[in-house]
Amino acid sequence: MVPRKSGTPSEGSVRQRRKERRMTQAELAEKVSVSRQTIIAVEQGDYAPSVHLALRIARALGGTVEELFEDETGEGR
Amino acid sequence: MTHRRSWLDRIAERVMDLDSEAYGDERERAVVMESSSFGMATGLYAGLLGAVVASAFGLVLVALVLLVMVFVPPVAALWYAKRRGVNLSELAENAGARSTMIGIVVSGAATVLTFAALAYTAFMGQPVLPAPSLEVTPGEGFLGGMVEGAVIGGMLGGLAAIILGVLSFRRANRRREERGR
Repeated sequence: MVPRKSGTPSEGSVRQRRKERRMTQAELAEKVSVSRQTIIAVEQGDYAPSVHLALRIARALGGTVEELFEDETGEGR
Repeated sequence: MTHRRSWLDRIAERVMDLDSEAYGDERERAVVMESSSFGMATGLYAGLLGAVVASAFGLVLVALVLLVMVFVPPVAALWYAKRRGVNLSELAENAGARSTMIGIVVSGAATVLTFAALAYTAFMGQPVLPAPSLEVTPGEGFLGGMVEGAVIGGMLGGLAAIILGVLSFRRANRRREERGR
């Protein structure tokens, strides 16, 4: 099943960090070897990436998985 | 997981081709798998409906073949999962999901209705519903011409699908090679 909603990025953190680095969704998608649609889904909280993908995204954005993928209650996962 | 790969396992691996890029990235792969399950469920219900309708019109062989074919995908799914250490029946039973119960009741009801209609045909010597009589001689008249056109069109359509599919595959490979350079 496509993992949804639970443990998804805190609203805007992936998107925020990506914008701080002046990266487009397409550029981030290429860097982490997924489609742009998947990056959109991650940013909107519609898809919870696997550990491997979360690590690749964090590395590409110069952050940690904990910073980028806190859940909505603000607790680290 | 499987302990020893049988010839069926090898065929399954070839059919699934899980390393193919056609599955996309991890999210796309999950959606492909979900949509395949949805397709299977839809096919199952469509097949059951077809079996009921065919049996109502006294089409015994069509109804029986449809009934058998409808259960091939779920049996194949059960086998595939079991070879990988997952018992789908147990999962469904333990979950007690309403959707599972609905599926069981609908499949059972369709099977009962199909055999009930076939039993009627067998004992009464006529179908439950009279099939409209339509005499068509291929090549004669409008309907005959349509039949000939349909079968030739079907063959040509199938050939076109093969040719276009191969061309599309080669184009995709060329694009992938160019991206790799």
